[in-house]
Amino acid sequence: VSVFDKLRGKKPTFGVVGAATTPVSTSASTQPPPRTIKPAEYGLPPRAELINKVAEPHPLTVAALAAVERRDTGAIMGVIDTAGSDWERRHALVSALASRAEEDDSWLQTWLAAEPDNPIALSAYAKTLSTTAFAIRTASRAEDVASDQWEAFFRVLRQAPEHCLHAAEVAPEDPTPWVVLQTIAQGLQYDNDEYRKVFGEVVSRAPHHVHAHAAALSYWLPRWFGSDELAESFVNAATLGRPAGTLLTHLRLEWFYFERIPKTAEDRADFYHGPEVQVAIDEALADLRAASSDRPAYPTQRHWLAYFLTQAGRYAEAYDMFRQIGPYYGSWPWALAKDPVSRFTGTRAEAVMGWEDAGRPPLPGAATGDPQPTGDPEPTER
Amino acid sequence: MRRIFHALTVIALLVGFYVLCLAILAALIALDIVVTKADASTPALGREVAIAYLLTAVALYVVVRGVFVSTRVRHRHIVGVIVTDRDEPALWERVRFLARAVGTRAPSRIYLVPDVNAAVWENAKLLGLIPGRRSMMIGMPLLIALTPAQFDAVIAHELGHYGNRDTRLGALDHRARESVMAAVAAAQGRLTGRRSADGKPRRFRMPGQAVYVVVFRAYAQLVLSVTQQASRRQEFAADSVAAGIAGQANAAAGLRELPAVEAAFNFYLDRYVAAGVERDLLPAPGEVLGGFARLLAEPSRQADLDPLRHDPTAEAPDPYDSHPPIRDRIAAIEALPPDGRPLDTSDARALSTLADPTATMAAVGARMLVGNGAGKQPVDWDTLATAAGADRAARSADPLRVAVASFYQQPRPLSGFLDAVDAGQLGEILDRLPKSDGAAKVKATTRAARELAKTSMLPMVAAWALAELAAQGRVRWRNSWADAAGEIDLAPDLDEKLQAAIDALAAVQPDAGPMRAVVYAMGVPA
Repeated sequence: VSVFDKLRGKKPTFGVVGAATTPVSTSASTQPPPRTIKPAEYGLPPRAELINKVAEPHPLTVAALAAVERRDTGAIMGVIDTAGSDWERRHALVSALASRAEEDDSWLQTWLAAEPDNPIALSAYAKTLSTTAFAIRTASRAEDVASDQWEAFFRVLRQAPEHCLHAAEVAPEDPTPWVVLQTIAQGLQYDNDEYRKVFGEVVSRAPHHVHAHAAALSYWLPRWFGSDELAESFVNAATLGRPAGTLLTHLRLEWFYFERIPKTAEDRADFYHGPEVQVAIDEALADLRAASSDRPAYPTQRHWLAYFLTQAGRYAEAYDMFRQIGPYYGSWPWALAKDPVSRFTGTRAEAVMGWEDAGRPPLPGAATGDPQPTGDPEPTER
Repeated sequence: MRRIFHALTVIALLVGFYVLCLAILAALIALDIVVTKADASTPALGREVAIAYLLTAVALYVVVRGVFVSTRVRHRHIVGVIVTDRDEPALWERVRFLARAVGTRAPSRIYLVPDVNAAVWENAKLLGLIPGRRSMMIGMPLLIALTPAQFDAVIAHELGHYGNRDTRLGALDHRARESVMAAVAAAQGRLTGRRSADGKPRRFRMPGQAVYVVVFRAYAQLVLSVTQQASRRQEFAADSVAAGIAGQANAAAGLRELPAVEAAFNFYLDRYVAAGVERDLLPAPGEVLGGFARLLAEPSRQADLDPLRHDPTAEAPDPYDSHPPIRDRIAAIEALPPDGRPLDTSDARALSTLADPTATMAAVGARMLVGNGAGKQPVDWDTLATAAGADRAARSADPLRVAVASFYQQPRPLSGFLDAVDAGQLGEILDRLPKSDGAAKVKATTRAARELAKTSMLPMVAAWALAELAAQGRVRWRNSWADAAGEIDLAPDLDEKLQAAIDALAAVQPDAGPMRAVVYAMGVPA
């Protein structure tokens, strides 16, 4: 749209962008359970100590961010080299670098000016353009986004792909620029075939890249540029016939969450207790057990499992999962709620009380020698 | 019998108005006398005496003004030209024919005025009971817009007020209404039309003035309620006379046309004639009204007016209007027995009745500019559109200009803004721009907020650049009757370069160079 059109009184028009995520409300957030727990009595951190992160930051992330503080790009590259060809870790590091440029990207611009061909700086810069654009758009539904938001969103986002492509050119073995491009492509409304090409560039370099698969699932949802069938076949392709330990199994839980949860409470209970969900949970648990806890997607898998185990009434396993999660709640599915902390604590309380009601069955973690909780045997009143 | 009773009621109301005014004065003077006497016996009452005198003085001023004003309500300040039989024989012939058809005396004077209005009035004497000279005003916009048959209907309606013998008494009603309304206006201090520096009507109030406004207004309400029904009955009667002469279909169409013509004319004056006023530019006298004819000839404008014709309810409801709503009048005409006479759908307009339409439009146009045209230069429409376009561009850029001035703590030209961009300080200017609706919804990072602000900034930069180019004579606007903003007339290569310069500023890492190259191709002015 020409800026002169504004002078002529024309409003810019944009193509339809699918609605963003609309969290499914559950009883946990809308109707707090009448009973509650004292988390400390169950070895769980209290609400006031919860942290809006997926998990404790990885040492390499800590080192990379410290290097940013010192404006020591050599040290940043040293951290990247340590990650080596662990492409998921590399992507996580690039994302962390990008998040450090959300408020002020001058350090990144300086770095890029000094090293215009540095693939890490290029990918991180593309990623900050992407997060800035989506911050402008907000997660509101398309019809609630103002026209100037759309205009700025597209203007910023359209400047991002060139940096990804440049990075891919100078680091042809690294899938990271392509993973970054996935989200940008979704924002820029790439059609299905164009998107498949981008995703293909990722999986030809990193076949099990969890973040890339999660981004692709979002693209294939009916609300964006896919359909029920395309989303389901993507989930099947991503999860079926893979070795345990890929951490891709939570994609099925995510897909359930977005597309399959019934509207009424009764149907929901049937659904969560039904065989489909039970099998998906069992597969995700097996996947988690087989995976290295060092993987960036490991905590994410735990968060999804904690949610689904609670909903499915598998309270002992759910409680155990919450104990592993600790104080961290900055992940889907909690982050999809209007009030993520309440969603997290509400679900956690439900798991603990369910465990109490079941007569405190042994926790799965007991076998591994984790300490058992010593709390008050009766749930306390609020 | 009923009419005589009505007339007597109205006369009583008029006389009563003067009596009311006198009674107020008499009461206050009596009060003055009482306090003055009391003052003589009790010297401590000095303040009360002063207050009583002051109140009397205010009353005297307001009441005398009200009465004085009310007795000199005359159609004396008509902006228009008088046309004689010799000037406009065909028009006079038409008016006389219509008067004969209505069965009344033709006016002895015709004014052509630049308003969407037509009226006949009579300077009747003895409160409207003795006939006087009859005058008519005809709005040029109506001549321009109406078909001959619609015009006949409108004029026949006006003459119809005199044809059915209510009129002399109707004039009495009219006078009574105008007198009390003028008194209310005088008491409110609105009559002079003087405005204070900020453009609002002066609102200086004398002590006690509000009381008279209330009293006069209450009295006016009484007069209005007494005369309203009779007035409306007369309007319907005049409409039926008009339908009899011009044909039912044309009379109805003429009524539908009036709100459309009024809206179009107001739009035209506002957006075209007044567009260059800030630069002391006006259209040539012949074009002041000639342009209106051109605007009406534009098909898209006709399409814009259609909804007003189909649903003429948009007129502001005025409780003091003697006319029934146009919708009701149209319904009444359409409810008459069908007369089988066709709707005039020709392209002919009543303007062709005039001997020399162009010259007459110029004469009335020149009369319109008297008092408004002082120091203003008549120019062609494209020049006017260019001046207006440049002003509009400059105004569009105002928020950015203000932000830049706030950044430098003094006003700077576009080059100052470009300097700031080069110095990497665009962000600080963006932070000073007013927040958009979108920005209010986004709880964003600094960068996101700035990029969002940039979206509203880009058209401002473009506008600022256009204003600069206009000042250099490198961009012009073409007048367009379909679009009041006109069409930007920019050389294709300049258009392209300007767009590229905007894009360079739009980049996340903005570059002011291309804009500097485009706007200051001839050097930065000192």
